[in-house]
Amino acid sequence: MTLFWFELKKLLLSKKTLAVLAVLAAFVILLFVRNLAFQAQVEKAERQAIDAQVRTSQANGRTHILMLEKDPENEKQKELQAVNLEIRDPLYDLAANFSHDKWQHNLDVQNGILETTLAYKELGGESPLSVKEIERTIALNSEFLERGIRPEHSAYSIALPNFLQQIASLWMYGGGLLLILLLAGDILASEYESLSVNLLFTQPIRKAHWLLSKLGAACIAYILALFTAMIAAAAVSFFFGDDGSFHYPVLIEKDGASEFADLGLQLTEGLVITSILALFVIALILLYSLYVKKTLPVLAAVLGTLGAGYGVTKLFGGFIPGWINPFLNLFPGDLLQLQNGRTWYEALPVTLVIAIVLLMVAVREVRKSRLAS
Amino acid sequence: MIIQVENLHKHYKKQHVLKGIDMTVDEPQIIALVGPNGSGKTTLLNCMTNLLPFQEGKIELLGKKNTDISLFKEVSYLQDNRILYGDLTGYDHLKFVCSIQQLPADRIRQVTDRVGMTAYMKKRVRNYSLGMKQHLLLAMAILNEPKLLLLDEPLNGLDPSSAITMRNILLELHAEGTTIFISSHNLDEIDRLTNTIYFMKDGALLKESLQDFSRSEYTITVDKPDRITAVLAATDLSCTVNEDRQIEFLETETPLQDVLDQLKAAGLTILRIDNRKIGAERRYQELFAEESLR
Repeated sequence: MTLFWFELKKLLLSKKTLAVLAVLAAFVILLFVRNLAFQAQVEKAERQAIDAQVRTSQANGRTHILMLEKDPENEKQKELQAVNLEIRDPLYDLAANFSHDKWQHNLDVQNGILETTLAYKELGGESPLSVKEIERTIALNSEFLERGIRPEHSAYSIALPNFLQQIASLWMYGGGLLLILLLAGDILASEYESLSVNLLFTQPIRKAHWLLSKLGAACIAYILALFTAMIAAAAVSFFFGDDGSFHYPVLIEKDGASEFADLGLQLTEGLVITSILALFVIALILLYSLYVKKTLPVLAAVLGTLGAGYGVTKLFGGFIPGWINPFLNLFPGDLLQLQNGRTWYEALPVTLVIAIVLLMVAVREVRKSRLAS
Repeated sequence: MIIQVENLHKHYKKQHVLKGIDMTVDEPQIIALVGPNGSGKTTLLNCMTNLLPFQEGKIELLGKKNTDISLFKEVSYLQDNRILYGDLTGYDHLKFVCSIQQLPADRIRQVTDRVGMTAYMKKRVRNYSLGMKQHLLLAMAILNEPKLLLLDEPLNGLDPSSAITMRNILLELHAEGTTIFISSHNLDEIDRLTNTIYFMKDGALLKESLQDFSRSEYTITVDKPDRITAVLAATDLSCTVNEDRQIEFLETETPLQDVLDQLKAAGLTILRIDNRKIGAERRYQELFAEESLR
């Protein structure tokens, strides 16, 4: 344990780690301030969306009038005109009486309008929304109403769970990996570069213990960074944001059908995927460091490996079974939202196994390791 | 046997860095390793402590193979100060070594008092001066009261007072029974520490250079310097007169007492006697004349 605490202290007390954690916390706070500042814009955007729908309906109405002037007996145009009026009247009502706080009323009216729009499209009318989009929006609105949860803006929410999810998304889409590379990318190679490894190698220390202490310290650094981001996000949104709900519905596709998952569960699953991937990346860093012994080439090799895995999965992912492809975890959004014929945790066992194998190879290598020369 | 190195060969790619080194040390002493840059001194020390692999030969320290990590409970190696962690304090370093070596915590205070570093223990190492870093390294090296202490250029960059402190501690450790194996460029300090010197040249140890070349040189100042030349000419003493009209001679060639007797008989008063060991430097100049000229 002495070695582990020493490694942890070295890592956590380094200027770089403290700077990274401070920047991370500042980034989260600034993102929340941005969201807070955009709250007025969110309501304005909702009003603009209704206005856009009104304008579309008005344009459609003018088209129907023109068509009927040319052909007053056109029954289809008459029917479309009537349905369009069924859309426009509630839209006028919604636009006139819109209030961000009356979200249930808004959703009810919206769903009515969308259902009429579906009927309008079935009759041959035009709408910028596709049938699939309309159906998904109706389902999502109904889910909000059923759960009694107010919908939040996807990019500017200040509700605690939604803001946490925003941070978690950034974490999943590269943020977590970037931080691991920043915090632990040089954890081993720098010891060889600075020759500080000589201090450790001239003490009665087993090199394998040393490597495992490095692994432990890197994992703790990752967890600390994750906690820093999440606690900062939770704190600002708790004190300055809205309550929200972790049961917030998230639309996913499972085996071809639309389903709703809880935001809290999605958030947890996403972080589990990223954390297992982080372990895999740490194992790569440790192993490459023993061969290369220089920080920049190690980082290049790790990024190269991840880039190659990303490319292969992107190009040939359909042909590679998910349970043997650890790089599938580089796409956590797809894993969580498109669960067609597969589960979100499909690639986790192989990732974990490969990480353990890499660490076993690293332990074997470190036993032979000596001064870089 | 404290140090046993047999037929040690080390290659870096095509370069033959250590060429059949043999060395045996069987009783506690201070041994100096001297040679120009690139002669293989640090490589030899790194091989001895298993920091570097070697292709041929055998190394045993305190009767154990150098690959045995338990060796480092009794052997310490003071290296380049880059091995220190700038973000940690001096105390962090000593506490780590103390825990790894399973030593009592009060040992830290004993050692920091000894090397005069107690006041700086809470300071981060990146704020240390070079001398402080060297003293911290020494404190770390002597924490476990080693039977064998290996030092690589411990006096590099030290100011005179730090060098004197370091030298005195090494002499004390030697008196306590520690064998000290020191690599250094500071020939004056080496002369003050030991008569046992191994010279390294192009990866080989020059065995003929042990002990027998070390000499004391005396410089005597008298009250009537203008008479010195005449007085000395009348004797068979092997002395020279320097530019400052002082008498210089080697103790091995001319006994001090003979010179004093002759000067007294000639009616000269001795004002000052200076003694200087000149072994290492003179021998170095003889052995490495080519390097000096380059």
